[in-house]
Amino acid sequence: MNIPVRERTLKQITKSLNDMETTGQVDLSILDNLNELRQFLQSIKTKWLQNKNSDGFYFYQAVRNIDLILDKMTERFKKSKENRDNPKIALDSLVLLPAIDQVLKITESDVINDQTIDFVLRTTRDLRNVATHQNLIEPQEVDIALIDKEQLKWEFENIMKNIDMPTHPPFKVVKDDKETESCT
Amino acid sequence: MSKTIKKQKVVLDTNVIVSASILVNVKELEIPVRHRFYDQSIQLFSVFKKRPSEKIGIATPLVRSEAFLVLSKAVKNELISNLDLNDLKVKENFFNSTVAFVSLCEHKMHSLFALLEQPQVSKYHFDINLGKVIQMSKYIKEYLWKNRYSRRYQREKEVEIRSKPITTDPYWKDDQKEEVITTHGDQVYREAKQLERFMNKYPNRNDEKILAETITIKYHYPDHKFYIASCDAGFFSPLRIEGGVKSDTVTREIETRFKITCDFPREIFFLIDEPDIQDNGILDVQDNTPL
Repeated sequence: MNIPVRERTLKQITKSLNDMETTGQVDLSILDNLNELRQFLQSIKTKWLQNKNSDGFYFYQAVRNIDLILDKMTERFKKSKENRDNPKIALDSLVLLPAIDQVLKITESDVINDQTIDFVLRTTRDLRNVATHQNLIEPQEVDIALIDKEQLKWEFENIMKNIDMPTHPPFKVVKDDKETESCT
Repeated sequence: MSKTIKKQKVVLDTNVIVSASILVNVKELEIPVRHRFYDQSIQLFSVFKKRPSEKIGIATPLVRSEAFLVLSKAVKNELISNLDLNDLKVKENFFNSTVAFVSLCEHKMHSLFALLEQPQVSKYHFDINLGKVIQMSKYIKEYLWKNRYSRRYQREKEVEIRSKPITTDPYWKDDQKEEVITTHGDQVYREAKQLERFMNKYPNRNDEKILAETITIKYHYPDHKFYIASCDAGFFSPLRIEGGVKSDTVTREIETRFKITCDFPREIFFLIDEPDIQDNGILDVQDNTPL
């Protein structure tokens, strides 16, 4: 059921954006299509939240990034007249759609293995890179507001330990911390 | 007489860039933690910032391509892996917070990458050099590790061979002979330490590829001294054990074969930095409150 929703919604959005490009005018009815896409994203996010496998986070992260990009897109559409962003926002959004489609395709699947994880992380990175170039990424302040600082404080040391070995199974860590200390 | 400054290039391992991006954020978020890599990573970037025209820092293609993956996995492994939340709303907030943290670090990573030269690498030369690096790794595994260090009796035999000139000499007293055996024993133990780490991660294709890329890039800078800054003591950087003693069997092999010096960011900082920068660091790295 989900696949037709993605295809249909993205087709509608693409058509609207192409029309805007042709006419040079922003049509705010696209916000309804974006909301529809957002509802679809919510269903995928819920699926990954319910998944017991912690690697499901990577897939959630991918969809969440689309969510945040849509927030920014919506904001730019709403303010397009006053910011004279008309019809640049339509062109910028159009560039992003193939990357969004690719991320959604992989997150719709339920397969979690090394290949799909690697793929979803790479497509998420590519999506973010394109969004940054099109000015469709949320500013850092939004990220800062969402971060749970208390949680981060307690987990910080362990995050750093993980940096050394992300692409391999955890190897034996020397118990004596002095051994890993770089400067004595 | 004018002072001659040797030209230098520092290739950064992924873990240096990722840790720096996390650390800068943690400081800006005013999270009261202090990490041993904080000063090191930031100090090194302060040199790149201070001497932009020299383009000292380099990010290889592999480092650029895997940085986001490494960051996401590091954060997820810690924040999410042991999470057992049944309430979906709470879990959603938790996930959103984690995604935001990864995004914030990625923002920072882009600004750090902007301080680095990002050269392309010829695939033809890269493949040749990767072959050389893999050959080195095999030599370390098959010859050094298997023949000398992998088993206790081999280590004891190695100590015995090294001590033989003294232990078989009748002019030395017994306590002196024992002292020599102890000294060689410590030396062999130290040499084996980094090899143990190396073998735990063998075959370490990612590090091998970064080294091969560095060798390839080095061709374009024949008059530059090359360094690799890494926080990983299992391949690039020496393992420092109690008393400040180094275990650097793998690191020395890299230096001998490829003329590339590998070490932790702090050590590289002192190797490349000029005294005035050490005295007047651009970035304030001392005011993080200890946890």
